[in-house]
Amino acid sequence: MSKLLHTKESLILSTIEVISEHGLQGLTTREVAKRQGISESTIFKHYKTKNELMLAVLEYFSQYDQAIIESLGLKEFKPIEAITYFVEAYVTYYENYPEITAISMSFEGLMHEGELSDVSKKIFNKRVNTIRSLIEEAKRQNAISKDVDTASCADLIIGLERVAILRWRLENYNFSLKDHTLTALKMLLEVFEIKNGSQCSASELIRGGD
Amino acid sequence: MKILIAEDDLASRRFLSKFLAQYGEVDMVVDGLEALDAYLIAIKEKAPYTLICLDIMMPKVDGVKVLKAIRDFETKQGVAPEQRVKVIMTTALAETDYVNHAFEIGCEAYAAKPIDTNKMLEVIKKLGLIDKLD
Repeated sequence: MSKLLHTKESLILSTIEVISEHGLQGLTTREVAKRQGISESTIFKHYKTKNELMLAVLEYFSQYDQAIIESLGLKEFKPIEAITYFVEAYVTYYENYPEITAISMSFEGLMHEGELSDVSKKIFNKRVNTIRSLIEEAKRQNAISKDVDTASCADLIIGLERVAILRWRLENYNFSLKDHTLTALKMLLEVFEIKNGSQCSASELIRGGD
Repeated sequence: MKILIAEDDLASRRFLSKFLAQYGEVDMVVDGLEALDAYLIAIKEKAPYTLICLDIMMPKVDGVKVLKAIRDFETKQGVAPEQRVKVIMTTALAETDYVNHAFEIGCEAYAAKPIDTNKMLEVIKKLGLIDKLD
């Protein structure tokens, strides 16, 4: 790690590395200390418990969320552009930082971990709610059909991103997460998008592929 | 002049390096840790950077933290304010609190992505870097 980086911050980066390589179950402060070339007791000078270290990791994981949400409001996007911007912001970031995606894949494992569960749920819900409100706005502006169920549409978009990440990890990052996710998102949104006053139905799209 | 581009997005990195290569020698890194390493190596080799372009949403260490580490280092080294490396933050984010924090720490300018080359050129001129080219 760089000499210019505080140990407290380096510890977060090493923890993410360990989770990415060994999973949440394989995370030990001993392994983190080993990677930093320090003793375990030095870790506890910065973070009193492993739980506190994990809370710092979750905070780090979600550090851009608020800025991305604020940017959506400031950039005056059209509704479909806003949804694309939101997804693109994350996949661009993940593309060169594969290890960090281990954290979004760990949410289920944190579900029974008290405070960690609350924080990860909060992060997850904030992202879900942002997508939902973008879909609602798209419906209001007639960019997406009003018949579309907002919650289901949001699940499709988030599900798409999560499966793309999982497959990317399983296939050892051998394709562009960003390109793949954005192409799939475009296909998905085109199904719901109203163009020239008419929505292209999924069945039409399938027939078009024959 | 020596320029460091710290940018994780391939398209932006290519674009910036092509554009800035006309004005100096360009090094490129893809995350904040590499940016800090490149900065320190350049100082060690007594060939420091004149301009650093820092993406904000970068892997490992974000651009704002990199900027803070560089300014803290310069302060410790007793670098005079006018001798500090010029830093332009680049970001796909709008001017949110996160971005404004970079100005508080001490960046010279902010360039929204997609980068507008005319504006970028204007900024480089304003910073007095064009005169130093030859």
